[in-house]
Amino acid sequence: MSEVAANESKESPEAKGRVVGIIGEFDDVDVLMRAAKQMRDKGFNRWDIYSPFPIHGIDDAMGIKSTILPWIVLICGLSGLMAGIGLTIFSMSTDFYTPLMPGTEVVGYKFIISGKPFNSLPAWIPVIFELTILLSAFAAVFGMFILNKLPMLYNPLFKVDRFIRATDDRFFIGVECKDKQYDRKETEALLKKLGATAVDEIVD
Amino acid sequence: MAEHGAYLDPIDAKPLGSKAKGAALFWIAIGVVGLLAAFIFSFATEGSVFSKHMQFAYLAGFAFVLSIVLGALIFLILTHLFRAGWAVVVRRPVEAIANAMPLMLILFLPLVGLVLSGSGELYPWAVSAHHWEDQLEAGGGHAAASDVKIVTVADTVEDSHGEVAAGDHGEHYYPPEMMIAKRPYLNPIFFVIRWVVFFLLWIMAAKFYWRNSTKQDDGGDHTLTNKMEGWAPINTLVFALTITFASFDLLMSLDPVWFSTMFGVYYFTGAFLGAVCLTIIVIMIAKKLGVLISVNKEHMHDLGKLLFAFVFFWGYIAFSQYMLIWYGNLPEETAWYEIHGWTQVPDKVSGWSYVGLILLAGQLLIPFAGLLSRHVKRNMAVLFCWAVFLMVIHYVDVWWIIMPMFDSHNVTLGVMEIGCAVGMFGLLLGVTLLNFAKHSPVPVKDPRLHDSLGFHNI
Repeated sequence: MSEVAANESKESPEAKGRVVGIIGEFDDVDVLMRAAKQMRDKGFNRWDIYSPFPIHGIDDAMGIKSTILPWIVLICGLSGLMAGIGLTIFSMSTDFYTPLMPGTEVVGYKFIISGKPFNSLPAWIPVIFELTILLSAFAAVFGMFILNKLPMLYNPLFKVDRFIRATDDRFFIGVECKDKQYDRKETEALLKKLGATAVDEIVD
Repeated sequence: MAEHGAYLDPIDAKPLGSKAKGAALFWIAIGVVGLLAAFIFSFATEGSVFSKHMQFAYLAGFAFVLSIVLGALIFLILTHLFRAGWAVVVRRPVEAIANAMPLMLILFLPLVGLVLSGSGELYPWAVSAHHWEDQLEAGGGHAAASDVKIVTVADTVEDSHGEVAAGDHGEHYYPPEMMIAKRPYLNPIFFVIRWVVFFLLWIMAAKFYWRNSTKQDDGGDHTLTNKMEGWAPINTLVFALTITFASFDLLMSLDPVWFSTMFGVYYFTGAFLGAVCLTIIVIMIAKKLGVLISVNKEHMHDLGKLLFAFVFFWGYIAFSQYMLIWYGNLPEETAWYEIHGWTQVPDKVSGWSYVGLILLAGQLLIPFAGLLSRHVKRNMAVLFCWAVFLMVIHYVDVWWIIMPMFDSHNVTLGVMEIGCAVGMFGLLLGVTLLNFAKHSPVPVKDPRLHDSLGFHNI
């Protein structure tokens, strides 16, 4: 990394700081889609596309694998289910001697509520259900944050002047230096060949 | 939005016409044969074409198909209410189902005759007012009311010591004072007036959406879309009220003592579930006939999501209804669950208890797990299997609500039940296909058609 950065700063003396990647500007969705497929086929994996609106089919064109988030949600939801069942039964109707602490006894609250048995599943289901939903929702929201590396409070991309049009009428392909396929000159040439109207360095 | 290459295949712009006739007639034939078989079997075994058993079986079949048509109607109203872009290509099958509403009116006529005849075999309240006054005078009042037994799950332990065996008086006993008090609402004349209003509103709504949507096919008049969307909020309100009271009349009043304010929502969840199932089935039949190729797995994915949502919503409502009654522990409410076998009291456990457990597993737990994955929802063949399965389970649900009122000790499932259910379902599917074949399989001039054709789930 530091080697690359050193080389870059020699090549472009104006740039202050470390080069973290390059970014190519596109002005057409179809060109962008074709470019995305080429980038995917060349084996790039640390790159991204920036667009003012969602583009259908871009995930496939970029070769983005489907997320593992549903599995995280499922596991957390099942944990919530188990926690709910455990909590209600343990707190309401536990009654056993603890072998590790002789002489002590763990006893649940054993409230009599309108004459129902201590272990009344119908009364517990709201608690179990809510815990399942709570943990699933937490897993979905916070899992999404973690998988997307959010919150991201700083991104060197915004130092590129041209990038302001990513929310207006231009599309961008950004490639990080960390990518194994990355080479300053070759990647720039590739982006230009794929139809980029301009290529800039991203300087941190 | 950028929908690339989203265009309507010309196949989907041409009405099916006579190509659907074979399938439609096949299903109508099944319908007629099924209903005839049920009536003949009723005559052969019980000596009357419309015996008491047959009345209940007929009601079960009718409540089943009516729920599907009502579900389709509200599905239609909701897509207009939300201006749903994705649903445009699947809207014609839904409209075709909802447009079968006049068939429901025809199927309902025998029930009107039954209520007006004053026999009280099906609906205990459908008798002359003198019936209850005579009973009251004969001393059938307070003394007998104390015999109505209260059994809940919680009482199992205490009751198993012997109180249960004692005094097993009528589970179908209705205190005359209560029946007289409920008379202003539960009487044959008002019943018929209510249902005239219900059917008037339902047929008007179904025809309104069918006519305007098909009219748009020719001219492409966008104001028709505005008109349909403009009426959607009012229709939603009207629908919510009518289906609630319709379910009270049709199913809840089988046991005039019982009441559950949640029952309308319970019937609605099953209705919507059934409508989505039948929509998927009709789409697959249309695909087999070579049309509706615009419906791709993205649209099926969304129908699958609705199926999944309503599987769970049904479970949520069914449980909420049960839990309130279980906790409240009021004898006139818990008795309903006892009659339906949802109890642990040993001598009250009947075949219906197992049907109840099959419902719990079949309409909630198994489809919940089965429909959870997006791969299932995006696979048309697998989703079709789930739709057929849930369609059957939805009938089981209605059947479990109705038939224990006829015989709470034994599960009754014979030629009459199956004949009525399959028969009416066949008629509904046949009429739906005939409706569907009359116009283009996709609303070709809908302003949101382009959105729908290029629709993608992320």
